[in-house]
Amino acid sequence: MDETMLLEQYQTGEKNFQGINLRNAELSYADLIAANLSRADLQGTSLILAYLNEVNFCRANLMNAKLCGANLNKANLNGANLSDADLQGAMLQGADFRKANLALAILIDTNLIQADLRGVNLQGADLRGACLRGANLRYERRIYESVNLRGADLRGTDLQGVNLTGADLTKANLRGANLSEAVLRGAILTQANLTQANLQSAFLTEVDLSGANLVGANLRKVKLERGILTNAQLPGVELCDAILPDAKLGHANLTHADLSRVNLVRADLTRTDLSSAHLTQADLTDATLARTNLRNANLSYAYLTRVELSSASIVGVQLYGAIMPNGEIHD
Amino acid sequence: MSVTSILNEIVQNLEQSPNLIRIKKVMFCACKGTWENDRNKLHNISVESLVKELYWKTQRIDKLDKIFDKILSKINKKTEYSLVINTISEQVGKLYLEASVAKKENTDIPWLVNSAERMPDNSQSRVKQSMLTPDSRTLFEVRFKLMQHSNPLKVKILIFSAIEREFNFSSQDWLQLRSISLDQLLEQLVQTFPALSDLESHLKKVSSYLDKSDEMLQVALVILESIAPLYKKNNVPQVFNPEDWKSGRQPVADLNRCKTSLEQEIFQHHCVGKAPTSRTIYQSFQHSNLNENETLNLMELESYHQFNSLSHQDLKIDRELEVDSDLISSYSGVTSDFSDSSGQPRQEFSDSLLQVEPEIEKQVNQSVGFAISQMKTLLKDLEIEVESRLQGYPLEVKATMKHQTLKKFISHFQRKVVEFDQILSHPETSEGDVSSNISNFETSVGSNAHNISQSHKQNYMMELAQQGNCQAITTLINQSLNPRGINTFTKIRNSCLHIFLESEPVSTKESTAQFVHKKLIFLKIKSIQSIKIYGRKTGNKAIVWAQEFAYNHL
Repeated sequence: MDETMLLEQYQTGEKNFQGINLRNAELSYADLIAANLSRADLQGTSLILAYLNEVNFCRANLMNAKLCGANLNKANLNGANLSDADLQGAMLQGADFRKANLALAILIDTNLIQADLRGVNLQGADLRGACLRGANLRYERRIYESVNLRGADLRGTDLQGVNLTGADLTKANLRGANLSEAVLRGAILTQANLTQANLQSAFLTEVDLSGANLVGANLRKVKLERGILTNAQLPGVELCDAILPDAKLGHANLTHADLSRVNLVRADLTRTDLSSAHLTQADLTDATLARTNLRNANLSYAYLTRVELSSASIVGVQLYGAIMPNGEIHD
Repeated sequence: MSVTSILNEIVQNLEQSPNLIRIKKVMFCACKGTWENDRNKLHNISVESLVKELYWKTQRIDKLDKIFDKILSKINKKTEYSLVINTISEQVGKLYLEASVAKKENTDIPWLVNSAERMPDNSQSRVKQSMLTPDSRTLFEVRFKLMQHSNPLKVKILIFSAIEREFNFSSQDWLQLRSISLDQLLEQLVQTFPALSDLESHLKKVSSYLDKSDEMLQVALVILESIAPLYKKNNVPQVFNPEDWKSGRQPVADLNRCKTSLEQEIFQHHCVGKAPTSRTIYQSFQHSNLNENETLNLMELESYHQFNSLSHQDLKIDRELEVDSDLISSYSGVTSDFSDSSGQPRQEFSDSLLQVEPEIEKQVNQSVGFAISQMKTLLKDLEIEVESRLQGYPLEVKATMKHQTLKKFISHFQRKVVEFDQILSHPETSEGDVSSNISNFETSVGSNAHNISQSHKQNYMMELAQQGNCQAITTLINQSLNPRGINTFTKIRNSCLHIFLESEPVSTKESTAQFVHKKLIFLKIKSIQSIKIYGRKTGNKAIVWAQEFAYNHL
């Protein structure tokens, strides 16, 4: 069957094209709304600006396919192989990508609003400027593996409010991405690039940010309970009103960071660089400050109850009104 | 840190770059408008002089970027040169930032004295600066809205066509589209069209020209609706506000200054009365300058020159006017440099002038309206002034004095208007130049028109084509066919349009003829009833195939 036959049959009302073989076909601008192309082999097929709304591509082979600007709203791409496919500017709103393979796919400026991306493999995918608001990327034990976004390019991607629980974002580039109110519980962001990313009010409980670069990121009001921030680069970062109890911040660079009103109860600040940081009204109760660099930091009105400060360098520290380890108020 | 030291630093940094020759080439092109390949000549030009000239020429960083974009769009080895341009704008850009800081602090820039740092629009340039980088949150919202209501790829294609060139689905265009994000395109769009109304008309025009125009028009409407927040936030009202006149440097204080005689008072009134009118002209040009970018420079130049000479005549009158003429002379100096640089940009300016005409007309009407209203208030003020001066005098004396004063004012004003007119009649000859340029441009515009002003030309060209101008039709067809190696000739005989398509090897009959036909239907050429399309080999007169279409412009 070739593309003309397919289109002719579709014209006559036939919708069922299960398992057809149309490798490298030319179907740009085609109208195949609601067709059933499940398990079809469409490797390398060109579907540029095609109308594929509600098409069933379940377990189809779309490797290397060109789907630029295609309309795939509410399409079923369950388990489809889209690796290396070009989906630039495609409309994928509400599409079902569960367990699909999108490794190395080009998803620049795509509309992935409310798409179901559970268990998807997006390793090395290019998602620059894509919009994923309301998309579902959640990890569900024994049903859906965590989303694989290792090394993905997510520069300027809109992930506001997206559920990325347990996602693997190792070495991903999230520069300038919008992650405000996103749920990244237990996500792996080791060595990720988060410069100038907006993470305001994000849920980062138990997130692994070790070695991540967060220069210029907005981390106001984040929830980072038990988060791992060892070796993370956070100079000058806004972390005010953040909640970081039991967080691991060993070796992290927090110079000039704004940590006012931060909750750092029981946090591990071993060898953390907090020089010139603002820690006014910060709660450091029971925190570990072994060899912490607090040079010229502002700790006025901070809570330092039961903090062991003997090995920390505290040259030029402001402690006005702080509650000292011995319970006294510094003046 | 003083500006000179920054200048030295920039010059040093640029000179140490391994790409110095390329840097010089680009900067030379940006300054002079021509591409210089002579290494010796380039070697003899100091980087410092180029940096200075570039700064003088551009004044604002967005202008600098625009010039670089233009250059980049025209040259080969784009990747290498984009790196070079990045280094230049990174280095030279420091100057602008520094200058804006210096402006805020009211410190003098040593080598910029007398330059346009005193330009009245520096507040606006700052606003524009902020517009260049719309804050990311609004950008995300705009994108969210855009994506929900239209196809992101079509949005990209439309914006690309609006600010770069018509997207023709070639692999090169795909690559370029992939390399540029929607965010960047949106930012560039806002940069290129500081007024939403301009953007609207431009997008509509472009979308009507593209394939599937109705779809594209819909996309354009979605863009316009979604992009509005970027404008609402950053745009200041650009229409000249009469309130500015009542505050600040206004004549109220000056009025009280010389109280010696009534005569002087009237004289003062008279010249103040003129100042706003001339200033309004200036302001209105400033305004249109913002809308139409540098394309208006030629027009500005002329009017500035007129205004310049005119204000010199009145230098004795008022310090305020002196300031004005100063500004203008400095500005006209800059612009004259620019337009003298080479024929090419000059021609481009004059081309786009024609598109700008209706807008200028609107501006003129507005300015006249404003001038008249100013006159009215001034006359009223004058009357009141006379009234207060002559308190206690008998009524008849008052009445005659008032009458005389107002008459004097009007006759003085009339004389000045006549002077305006005389000055205006001079450059009429240069307008002849403009029209000859237009006829030049019909034939010469072609391959290297990949820039923003192209769209203006395009519209003009479409108008010409619709009227049945052969050359315009040829150019429009060539735009799409030249990249495929097809050359076009057209002829109109007895309301039949003959189109010869020359190529090596001969193009296929069906696809090419169909393509050209489609393109022509789009143009809605008047006075044509049929089209004949012929295909032949380059350099060979024998026609290989021919195809005829009936042409009904609906």
